[in-house]
Amino acid sequence: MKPTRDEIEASVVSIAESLSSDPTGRVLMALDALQARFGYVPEEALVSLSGKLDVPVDQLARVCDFFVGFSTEPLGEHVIEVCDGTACHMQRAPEIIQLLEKTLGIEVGHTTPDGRYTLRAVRCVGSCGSAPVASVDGKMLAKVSLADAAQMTRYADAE
Amino acid sequence: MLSECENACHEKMASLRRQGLEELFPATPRIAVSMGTCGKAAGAQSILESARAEAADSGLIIESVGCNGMCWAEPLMTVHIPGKGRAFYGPVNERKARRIVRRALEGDHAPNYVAISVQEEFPLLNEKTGIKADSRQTLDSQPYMEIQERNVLCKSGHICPTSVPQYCAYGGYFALEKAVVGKLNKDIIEVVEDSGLRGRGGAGFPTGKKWRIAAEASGTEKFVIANADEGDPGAFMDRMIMESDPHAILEGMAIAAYAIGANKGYIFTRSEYPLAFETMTEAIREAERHGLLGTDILGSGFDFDVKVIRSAGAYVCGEETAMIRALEGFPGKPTKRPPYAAEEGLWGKPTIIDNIETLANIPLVIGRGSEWFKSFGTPESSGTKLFSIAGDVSCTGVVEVPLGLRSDELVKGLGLEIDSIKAFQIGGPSGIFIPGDTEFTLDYEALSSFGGSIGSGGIVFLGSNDCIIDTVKYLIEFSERESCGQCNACKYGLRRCSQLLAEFASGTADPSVIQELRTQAKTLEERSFCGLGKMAARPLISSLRFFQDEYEAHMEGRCPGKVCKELIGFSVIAEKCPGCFCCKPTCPTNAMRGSFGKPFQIDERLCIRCWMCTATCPYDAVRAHESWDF
Repeated sequence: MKPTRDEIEASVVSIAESLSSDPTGRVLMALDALQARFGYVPEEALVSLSGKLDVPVDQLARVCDFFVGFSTEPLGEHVIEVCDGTACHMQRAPEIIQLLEKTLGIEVGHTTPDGRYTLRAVRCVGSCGSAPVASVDGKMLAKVSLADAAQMTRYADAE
Repeated sequence: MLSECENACHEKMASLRRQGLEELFPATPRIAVSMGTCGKAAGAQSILESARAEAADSGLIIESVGCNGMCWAEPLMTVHIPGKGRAFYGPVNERKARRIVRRALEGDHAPNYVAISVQEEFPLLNEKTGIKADSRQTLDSQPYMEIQERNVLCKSGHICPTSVPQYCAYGGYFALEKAVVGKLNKDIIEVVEDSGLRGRGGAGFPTGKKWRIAAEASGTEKFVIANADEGDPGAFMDRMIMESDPHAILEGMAIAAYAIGANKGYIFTRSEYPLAFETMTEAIREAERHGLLGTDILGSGFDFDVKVIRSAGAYVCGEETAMIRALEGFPGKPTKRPPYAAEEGLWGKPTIIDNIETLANIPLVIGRGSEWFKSFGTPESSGTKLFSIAGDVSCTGVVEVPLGLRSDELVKGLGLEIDSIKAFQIGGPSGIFIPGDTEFTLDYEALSSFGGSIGSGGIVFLGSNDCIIDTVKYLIEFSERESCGQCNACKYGLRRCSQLLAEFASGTADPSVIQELRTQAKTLEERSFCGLGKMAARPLISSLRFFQDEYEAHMEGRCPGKVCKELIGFSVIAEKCPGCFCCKPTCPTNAMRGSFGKPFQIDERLCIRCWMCTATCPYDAVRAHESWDF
């Protein structure tokens, strides 16, 4: 469910108010807050944010586009992330991703058509000691086996 | 007047320290559960809950602390019993945790600890800081601990990460006090220069020199930035320091700011590190509450504010000019140097950008002096360095060793055999491969003689079941994906390199491809705009130099590590397979053929080499082969 125009406007106002007057890092913080609030950065938000921060809207759009962490489309209800750092890569992360792609019927980086699951490969989460690592809705799972991966959607539903 | 302020300040710090010591070494047992990212992933939350449930109303202290580097022992519990030292247990499960708590209630350590520390170590303290304490940690003589000199890490996993008194108990914030109130005999920058401390982020630039340039640059507004955008896959020491000992970073930043005359600091971290972000933010709040950050620090008139800013997934932002662009609100693309940030950085003002680990070393350098610091490491590479250990090794985690440690000592300390190591991958996507049987020392000079650098200190071990080609391809593809795209050498060069490596992975390459790879690597190194592109060729160059045999095997259609999907094959060992049907329902492509009670076979045409059958077979009857026509 995409948020309404009013909801977006209200969040932009509150986010802009919460930022300090220090211009350093303001754009990143505002976009980060939007991403956290909605699970993506709505296009409409950029326009009103531009006025509040006094930053050209095309600059905001370019920043949003540059950083992979800001998505312009809403994410699924459950987000399954598989770390693809060096250590995880060596310990079967590609096979885990392949298996999840098969199970969910989507390619990595996409959301199932029913909006239930998003599958993403993420950059090293720095937990290489517990490789391979995955997370379901932000909850980290260590030493994920292929058998665990096969159960991951069920795990997500139970959470 | 000054001395009065000095006394008041000294009294305040002494009382914080007393409070911290009481908390850390109370008269009753104290139990700590490591709740870093790795600990939590391993299930530390439920351990903490069971331990608390078992302790119930007994008054036993059970705290949540950071990580002490022993990722291999997560979930990890630490028990301090007055007079009996500190014992480490791991990996623990809920049942073991309850038992450890029961024993602690009886005033004793449970048996089977992985390590025990009888004396405490306080590398931050000595007569110079005004407090005497200098016992080194004596652990059960474990090779893992013997190779280490835990100066930066001494507090990690013991103190509550955000607690100011507990940090002070280890001598924390005394270096700051000395710098801003006590007035050092020597100039701060001179001490840092003299210590020989070099940037721990990868480039190895002398920290003191950088500070000197910024201090001498004109301008009233200056900035300090902590580079916590630890993007190298396989490196996690910065995450660990932020999660376990955030005040060391804040103290380092404050000292740097005071030295160059800055009043504002920023910590630029990654979105992949949510816990580090929370811990740093909370630590800043705590430090401000105790008057150690913010306005008029310790009554000295010096103001310093710190803010944590989160990036959103762009590896290139670890490069300092790109980071500055991102902080200014633009896409994080590198800009031309010079001017260097120390002269014209954030908003065109003098800015120093130091790595997290570098900053965490500053309180040690100022507190103990440069001579002490130089007593570790080699003359050119002084001090200790954190290395993150990952890959095909059982002792994964973070170790702190003196620079100049020999590779075989490290290998021994980690409980490995030289023969079992195919290669060390040091320094991430801008790092190199070194064969396991090559002897080298871990310092800036030795590694640059191999055509690489220490990088941020990530070491990934490759064993016999890992593939050099696949790993090089992975690193090149990583750099390709993270290339900002503004210079063609990097953008197209990396794309071409990954195409060529894909030919090896699929067994279609011929010797001319090796030649083209060499040329491409050279062009990348010479023509790229920023360091990221220049160094992206290093894994490729070093693998061509040391692992010619792997390239040749792939040309023949073999993958010795049994990784490259287009080359390998699987078969069922008929003698081992009882036909139990375990593999059949788990195979995603229905490639397992057979009937109950009879050995199965794999339908080659359907097999997608997902390894699922090897994972589910209870009889270990599925074997992988290095080539398809086994």
